Amino acid sequence: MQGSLRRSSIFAALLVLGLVITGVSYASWQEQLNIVGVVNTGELKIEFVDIVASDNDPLEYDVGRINCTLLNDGRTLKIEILHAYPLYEATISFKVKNTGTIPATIYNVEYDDGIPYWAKIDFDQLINLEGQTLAPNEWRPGSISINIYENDYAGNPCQENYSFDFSITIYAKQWNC
Amino acid sequence: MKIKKISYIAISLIIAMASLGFVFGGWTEKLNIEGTVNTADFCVKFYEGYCINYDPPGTNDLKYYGYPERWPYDVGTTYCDVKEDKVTITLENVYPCYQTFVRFRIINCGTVSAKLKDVTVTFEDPDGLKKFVEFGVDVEIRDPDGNWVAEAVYPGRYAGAFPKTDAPIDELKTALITTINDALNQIGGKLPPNYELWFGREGDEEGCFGFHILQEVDGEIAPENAHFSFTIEMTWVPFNN
Repeated sequence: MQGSLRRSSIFAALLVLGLVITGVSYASWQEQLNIVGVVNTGELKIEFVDIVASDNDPLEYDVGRINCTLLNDGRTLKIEILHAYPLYEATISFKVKNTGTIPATIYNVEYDDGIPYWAKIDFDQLINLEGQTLAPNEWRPGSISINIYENDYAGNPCQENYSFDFSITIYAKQWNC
Repeated sequence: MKIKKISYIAISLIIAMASLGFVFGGWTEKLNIEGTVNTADFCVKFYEGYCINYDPPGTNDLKYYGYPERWPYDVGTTYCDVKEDKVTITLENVYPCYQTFVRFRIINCGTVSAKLKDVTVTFEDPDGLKKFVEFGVDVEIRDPDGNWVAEAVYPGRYAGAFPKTDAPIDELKTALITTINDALNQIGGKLPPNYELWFGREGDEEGCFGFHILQEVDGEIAPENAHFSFTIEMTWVPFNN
């Protein structure tokens, strides 16, 4: 019985040894070459930054108010005018900056059309950015001016107790598409 | 008296046997056969340190199918690192329409002809970027004298030895098996010692392994800040395996 067990053990050991030797020789006659590829895409992002709003209220009377809110997308600016009056003027200056990692071309500037006729909003500086390409971290200065007139072009007077707001959105696309 | 007689017989017998043995020995020839076995060397590896990169750091990006024209921006970057057993190609900060090429080579550095046994490709695509990645490959074989003796391109030729780069990355395994074996079959199905298999071809404007990023697939735009990677494992074995 003991002899039989010993014989089995020796046989098993030899089998394992044989397999190991075979495995080693088999592995040594092949070569494995690896190619690893990694792709990381960049980010296209254009934003309003350094936004500063001011108005022409005299120092002794802080009457009109202008509130600027930058929405989460970073490229929509919501502007609210409160307690304005004829001859009230406000200016918003800002930078339009490429905060992404890819050159961006500004292809459109959209704004609301619900602005009363007796208010004149000058978007020209912003609209002039259309077609311009900004490299990453590059920026352009921009501004919007708001003027409240006594009457609209048809002679209707500026309404009292009237608040309005509007928003401006800039659209950019990848420069090479 | 009797003991003495027996001693004589024994001595005589010993002398007779010794003589017989001597004679027998004298009529024997010993022939030896000596065998020496020296095993061959099986060696297939990448040519370490050799990688021609068409968009290295500090270089303006290539225009898609516009080589050698480049954009006035250095946005995306290609990194290529070649070790003996591993090539790492990294495309960093890339975007739709980005195109790049790299060229590297494999050498049979042993004494046994080699053949491609298997290719395994695995992908890691956590951000859904894979379907926007396309590629193309040009495989060429050069003999030890520097002559180009075989070529295969997938999915097709763009210009010179530049491949088109519009094959979906899912076809990578098929492309490698097809091109490598097609090229090898042109010289007998194996890569002989000191022959080299190039991804691309030496020369100022000759092609290679190319990649392209698609803008849109099925109405979906390529994701920003996304990561994708693939690993190709090529197993080479002796020609008779």
